[in-house]
Amino acid sequence: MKSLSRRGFLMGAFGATAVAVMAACGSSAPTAAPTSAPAAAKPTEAPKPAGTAAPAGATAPAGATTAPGAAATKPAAAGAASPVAQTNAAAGVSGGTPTAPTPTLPAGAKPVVFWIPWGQPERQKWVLDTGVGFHQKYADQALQMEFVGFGNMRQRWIAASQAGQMPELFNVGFQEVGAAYIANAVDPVDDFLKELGGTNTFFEGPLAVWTWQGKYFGLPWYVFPRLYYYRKDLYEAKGLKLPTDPDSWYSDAKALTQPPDKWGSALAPADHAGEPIDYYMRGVGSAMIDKDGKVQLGSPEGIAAVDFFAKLIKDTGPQGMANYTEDDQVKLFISKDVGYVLTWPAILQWMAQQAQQHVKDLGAMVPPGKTTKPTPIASNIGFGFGKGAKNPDGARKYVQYIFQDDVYIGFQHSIAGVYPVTKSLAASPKFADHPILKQFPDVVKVGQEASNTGVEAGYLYGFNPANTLALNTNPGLAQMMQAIVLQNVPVQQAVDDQVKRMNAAIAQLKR
Amino acid sequence: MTRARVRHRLVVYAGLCLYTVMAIFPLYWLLKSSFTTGLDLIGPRPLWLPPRLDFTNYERVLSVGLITTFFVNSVKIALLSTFFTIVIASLAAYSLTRFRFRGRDLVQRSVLLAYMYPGILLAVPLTLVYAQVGLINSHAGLLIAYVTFSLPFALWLLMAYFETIPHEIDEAARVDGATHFAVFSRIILPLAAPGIVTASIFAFLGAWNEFVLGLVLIQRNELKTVPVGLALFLSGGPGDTIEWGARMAAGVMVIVPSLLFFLVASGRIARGLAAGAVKG
Amino acid sequence: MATRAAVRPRAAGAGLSASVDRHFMWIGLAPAALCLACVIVYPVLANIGYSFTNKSFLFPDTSFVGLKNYVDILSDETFGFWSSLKVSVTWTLATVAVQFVVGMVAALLLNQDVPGQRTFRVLLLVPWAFPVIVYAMIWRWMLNDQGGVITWLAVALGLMREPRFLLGDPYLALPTVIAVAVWYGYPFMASTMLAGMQSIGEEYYEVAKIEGANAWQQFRYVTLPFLKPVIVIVLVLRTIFLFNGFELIYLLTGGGPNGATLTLPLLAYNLGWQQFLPGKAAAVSVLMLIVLMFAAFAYLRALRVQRQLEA
Repeated sequence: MKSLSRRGFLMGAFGATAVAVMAACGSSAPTAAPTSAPAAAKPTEAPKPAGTAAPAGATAPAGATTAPGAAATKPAAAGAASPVAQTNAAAGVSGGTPTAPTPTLPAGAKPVVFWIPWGQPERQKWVLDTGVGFHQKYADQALQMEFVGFGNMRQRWIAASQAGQMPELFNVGFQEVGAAYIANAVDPVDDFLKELGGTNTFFEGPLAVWTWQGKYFGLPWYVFPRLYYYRKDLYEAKGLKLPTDPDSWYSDAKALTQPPDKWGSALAPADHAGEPIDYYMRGVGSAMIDKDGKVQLGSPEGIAAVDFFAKLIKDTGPQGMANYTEDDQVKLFISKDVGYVLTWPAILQWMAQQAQQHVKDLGAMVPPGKTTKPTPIASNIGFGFGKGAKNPDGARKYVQYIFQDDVYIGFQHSIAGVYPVTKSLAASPKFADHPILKQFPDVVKVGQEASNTGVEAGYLYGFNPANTLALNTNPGLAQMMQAIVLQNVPVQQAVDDQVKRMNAAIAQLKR
Repeated sequence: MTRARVRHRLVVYAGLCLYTVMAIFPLYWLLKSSFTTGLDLIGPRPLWLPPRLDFTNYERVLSVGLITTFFVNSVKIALLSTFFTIVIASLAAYSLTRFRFRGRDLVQRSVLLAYMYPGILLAVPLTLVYAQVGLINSHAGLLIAYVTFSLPFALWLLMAYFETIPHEIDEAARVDGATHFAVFSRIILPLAAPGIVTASIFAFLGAWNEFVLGLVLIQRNELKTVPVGLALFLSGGPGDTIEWGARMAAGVMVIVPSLLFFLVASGRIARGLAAGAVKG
Repeated sequence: MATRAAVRPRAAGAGLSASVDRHFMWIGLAPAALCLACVIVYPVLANIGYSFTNKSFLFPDTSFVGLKNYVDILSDETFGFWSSLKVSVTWTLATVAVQFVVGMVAALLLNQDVPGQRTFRVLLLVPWAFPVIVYAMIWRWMLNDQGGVITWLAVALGLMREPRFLLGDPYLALPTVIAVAVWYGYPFMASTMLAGMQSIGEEYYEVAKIEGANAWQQFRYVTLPFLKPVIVIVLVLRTIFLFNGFELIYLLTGGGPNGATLTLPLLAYNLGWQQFLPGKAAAVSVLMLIVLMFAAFAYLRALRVQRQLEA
């Protein structure tokens, strides 16, 4: 009978689906059958110690010759690595690399959930390794690392804070942690700061931006300056002295420009438009946003800064530089003869690995100002402690653990060129003892000084929610530069539009 | 063959080949790039063939492991949501085709409206609702959303199939004393089997390919589905280009099962597409 | 479980199964209704509610602000509503139009009686078979300015002076995204229209041929009129789905550069998740909903016309 055979088929199909579904559910701890830990059966809540498998295949040992960019950069793929390693560990299954022993999670260890922004395998390996050491020191604690990425952090904490699922710990720029503090998603850390030895443990500059209305909302973890890195040989060959003000900065760059292989500048307007603008403004005693949280971009100094920046992009870089990201700018600087690059210190690692012949020619300085020496611009990345997280005590223990000099140095050396925020590590001779840093002694010295006094672009007077709203809620500065350079919008008009956008964002504060 | 026919064939084949190249070339390039590394990949001249079969990119993707987790999540979510979609949609389709009641047209029309409502506009409110009831970061929550979003199309398709089954058959059974459930499960479902298969394929593909809701409702990496998990590979930052090889390898690993499924089901997919345009 | 007896007689009178049977209609409708109510209707209503508040992800307190969000969005261009609307309309109409032409040509080719046609019908569907993320990845790679094959070809053919990233150009980003959307979307159009073409009786073409109609005239006076209802429905539906489209653009450009590809769904997403303004995002959603209502109305009308034609 036809209908019966159809029915049979249907039943079979549903049955097969059901079986497959059960199989899928049963194996939802995908990489390992649960052996010892009951945790593996319920992967969503399983406490997972980190610290087994470093993303082995993905790890590019520093100094090794890899394909361009590999070592110093952030394979998102590697970011994905860790949770699986953790699942292995949770199940007590061996999956560790020779360097990292596999701990078995004793029942009852409390997880410290740690969202990391770093995709670089080197840094992830370091985090996983600290998980092992941390667990050895505190048997009742276990680190659970999760890769989120810088770009996804905001959506992540918003959703988590709405759902009451903030992690014990997350690491991102102070601007973002500050916003989360305003949104009541992180706990202040004043008492923990005392436990760590008080404000004196840290360099003043890097710590200062982590406050709002008299409270510390988080702690710095590392800083890195955005400097003017230049090729001494190119300047010498043209008989140029180093620039002493924005005018000579521009004219030198112009003199060095000889398309298609020689360029004056390597800039990254698409994701780092704020730095050149704020450098210029600081150099005339102004700032992109003043100490009352008012936007000064529209002032004559601001217009001049934007105009200067636009001229650099148009006249001293390749066509299309208006769209360059940090990655593109570094590739350009490494692969062509480019006078200078305004970027972060990972340039040292790229240079050492891919353009060894130019290592000796690299110099660095704080870019020159028109009337005064500008305060250096430095990025400042650190910890937020999630409000309502289950294990705040574990988070503090972990942070205290990794701030020990001999642990902390591992992070600083994982991607060379960033600088410690604690005075003790900075003073330690071990810090400079690194195969890449040793190749650039002068640059490292300039970088360290700039780090200790530097402040993020747009934040000269410290954290203020107004600054975060104006600068970090839309790609406005990049849009402004693209409008000027690619669409020939007059500078004044483009700046006016951007100032409007910034003020509209700030208007959120008046509720 | 006449000359006109030969010419006709030449023109048709030329056009079809052009389309085929357009459709297939990106896939070829994906495959080729997945076997290429380093300067061969980003050099000034693209290589049309990989210099050798280099599995480095695959090793890299596999070594970071999570891709298998994404797969297991996706298979689980897609199968479960297919199953529930079909159960719920066929029950509703039975009610909507076998009973006459006031407002039936209204119900059918609102189903169509639901079908048009884009997931992205629900991203914020659904997140907030889910946050209140604790469904963020849970596969159950994602499943509920996927079932709901594939319901309208399945319902529409199944209603059409159920309508083709003559009402006399089930009315006769009712007269013989059969319950509605018996009519539904023993008469309608078996007779509508082809429709159910087609609806299942679309429900499966819908859940397998869905991106937006997976992006906002699931935050934890080890719970992500394939499309959202793959987006992790795309998340920007310095060093983008060098990772293209690994990304392409991950893409190939996702495409192969999809392709197999597609080849097996392509006939029904084509007919389903023809039956009513599908979201996308 | 199920026995093989054809149909068991229904239990008469009272009892659980009898009451199940009596209310079977509601039992059948309930799960679907519940799902739609919880996942779509309630959030949509909640969203309409948010659109009248100053709800923010930055501040826990929320208060009623009346129409302020709408006034802000419609009158203050810093929120980018009108430019996004323009991008959205361009994106939707251009994509639908090009998809339609490309899909129509494909359908005509696939409708020709030549050997090997079955294979082509499968091959041409291929772009549709994968998650958006996969082909967003492929295209971003092929369009890359360092190593991308399309960029290289464009330079080699002299279309481009030096390699540049098309998706990063304020003028070319939108056309590029549209081209990718066409590549992905024409199979729908082709399949639907092919099915329509196959339902046209051969005799109409015979008659046309006898009357001396050439290929174009056959298309113009036989194929098109028959396809018209199908075409209308497909165009309306495609328009709606493209207007709602999010992930392709999100993954290819994220709305940039300089807002060149920022369609309304991306604007709503950015307002909510990047600018901490779910209230304003909700207002954009509601405005989109209004547009969608019109489109849905057009669709239902088209559907009715088709039914009448068929009847």
